[in-house]
Amino acid sequence: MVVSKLLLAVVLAAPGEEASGASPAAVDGTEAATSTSPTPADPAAPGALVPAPPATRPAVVVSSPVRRAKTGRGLLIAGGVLTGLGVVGRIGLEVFWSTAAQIVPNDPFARWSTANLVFVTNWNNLMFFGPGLGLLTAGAYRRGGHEAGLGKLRDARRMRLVGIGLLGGGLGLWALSRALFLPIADACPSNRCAYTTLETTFWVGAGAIFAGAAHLAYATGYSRAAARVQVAPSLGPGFAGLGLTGRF
Amino acid sequence: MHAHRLTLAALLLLAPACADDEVPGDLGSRPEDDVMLIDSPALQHLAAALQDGETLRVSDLFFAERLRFDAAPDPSPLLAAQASEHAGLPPLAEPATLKVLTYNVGLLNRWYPFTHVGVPYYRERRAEAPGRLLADGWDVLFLQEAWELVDVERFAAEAERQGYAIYAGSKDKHVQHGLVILVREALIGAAKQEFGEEQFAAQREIELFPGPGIKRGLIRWSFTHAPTGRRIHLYATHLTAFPELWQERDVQARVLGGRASSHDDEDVVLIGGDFNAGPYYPDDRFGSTGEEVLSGWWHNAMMYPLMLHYGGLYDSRSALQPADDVARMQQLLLPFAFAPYRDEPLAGRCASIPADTFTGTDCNSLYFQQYGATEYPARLDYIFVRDVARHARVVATALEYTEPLDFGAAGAFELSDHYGQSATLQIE
Repeated sequence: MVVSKLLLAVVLAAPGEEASGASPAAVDGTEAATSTSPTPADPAAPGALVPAPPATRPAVVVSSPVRRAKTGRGLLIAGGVLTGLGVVGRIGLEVFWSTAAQIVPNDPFARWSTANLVFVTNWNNLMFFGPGLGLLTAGAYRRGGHEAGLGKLRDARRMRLVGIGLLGGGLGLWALSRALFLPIADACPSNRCAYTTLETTFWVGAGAIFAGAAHLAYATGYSRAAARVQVAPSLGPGFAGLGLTGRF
Repeated sequence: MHAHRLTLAALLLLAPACADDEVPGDLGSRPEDDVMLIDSPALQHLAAALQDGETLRVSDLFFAERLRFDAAPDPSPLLAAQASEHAGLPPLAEPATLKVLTYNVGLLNRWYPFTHVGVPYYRERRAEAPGRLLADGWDVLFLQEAWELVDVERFAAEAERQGYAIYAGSKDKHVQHGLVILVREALIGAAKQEFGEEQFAAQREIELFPGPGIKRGLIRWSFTHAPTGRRIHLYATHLTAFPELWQERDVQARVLGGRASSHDDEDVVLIGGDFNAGPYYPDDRFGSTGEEVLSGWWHNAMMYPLMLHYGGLYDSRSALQPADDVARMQQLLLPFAFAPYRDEPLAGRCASIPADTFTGTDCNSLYFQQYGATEYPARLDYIFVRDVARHARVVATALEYTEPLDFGAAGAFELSDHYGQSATLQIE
């Protein structure tokens, strides 16, 4: 449910003060009962009979001190590692083609090798590049949200447009060059031409796909978080604090 | 040195699910299937070497569990019988000569995942082969392992210059079987020619993918011989390699024999190819990569008699005199020991074993580089003849292209890792 923007003033207070003096708020916004008031649920209270059912317990907000912010860092690292392995694998494949495979550069492209080309390139894509792209995208999304929460200013709209452009272009180039690879290879005069086309379109396409996906995911994460909460310093006579604006 | 071979062999053996059609689906449907081994002139020597061989039928040979060899199948009587039968034929009145060559040109240079498979000096040899082969006066050439279309185009260009017609099958399938037939154009009569191409059902599909894109088969070319008016049917083939895959090979031989025997008895059928198995192996154990010695060679001796049995064929190499397979094999250092065969081709015996029988041998430097000490030398390449009405005679046979050539800076080596097998025929 989208809630209209609220402005909450959070009084900057020392941690000690927060622990001793603040009155916890219930999730519905009303003031919660304090733990100093005996209730039937308090077994130590005089006259307590049985523990009260959970529904009758006062709702208390407890903030976990060990909970980590979702910065996307882990996902980005994992995605980077997998993508790096994919890059190494692909370069290794190119080294194999140019050395051990003994492909004659000036010969026409041999169609019999198409199945193996599809197999080895997609094996690397599925093992490394695909999962790497997924993790990097998820990490960028979280990173965008995290940095929005930190109040960093980004032009999310522009990033989103750039992302869509790069991703669309990269996917389009990749899909088209693969779909038309055989006609392209047939039109090529040599293996050198065919393999260069294959690899150039791969690297350009992959670069655009990764960059576009990262931009788009970051911008999306940023925009959503920014719409949820905005943090701004707030100063006034007798108080200082941060203004949080967003959807709650 | 043998990495590619071992990889492919491992793939082949570790993929039993792909081992389709080891037993022919139509086994028992042909009269030749039900013949007792002891009643077939071509297969009698197998019966003598098998446990309960006198009770076995030809169809039993396609079931590994029914075959227990007690001794090496010795084809000597079969080789001698072919020679004596041919010697008994009357001479032809006005024959025309037909010079036939079968040659595995070894133009293999392919990759598959993590591996390269190829015959050394591919580039140097492919530049040399078309001009040399088509300038040597052959009337019919059966070529194997001209895998790439670019090499077929080289042969086609040379054929045009030298007056040959060429058939290599379809583009899509040629790159899988690598077969080529060339015929001197002047010998082709006006009657309609027929062409055919077929790929064997019995083979490990893994050799096609993710292997090096190979699917074994045959190509056929039927034409009327202009000088005599005789209808001639040519078959080129290349059966499955690897000694472990004798079952696929035998099924392929049955198919090929069936095709050969389907023609009119007045016609002459010539089959040239690399059949990847010899007629005789003295010991069942031979060849190693340094660990276990390979066994099971006696099973490989079944391809040759099965071809003769199913095709109604004779072996041109054994027509004039019995082929020397047994004698040459007995010149090897046996039992097999790895070190001597690894250190020198045929354990140093190449000089004493005449180059008249084995078409695949470590004495060929290209063969040694690829397979040294891992396989028996053997007669792998044959020209078989079906001539029911006795319109053809063999007048000469020989191994061809056995000597190293000077390839300049690349060095001196043979034109291929196989030797060629020729047969000079007379046809009426």
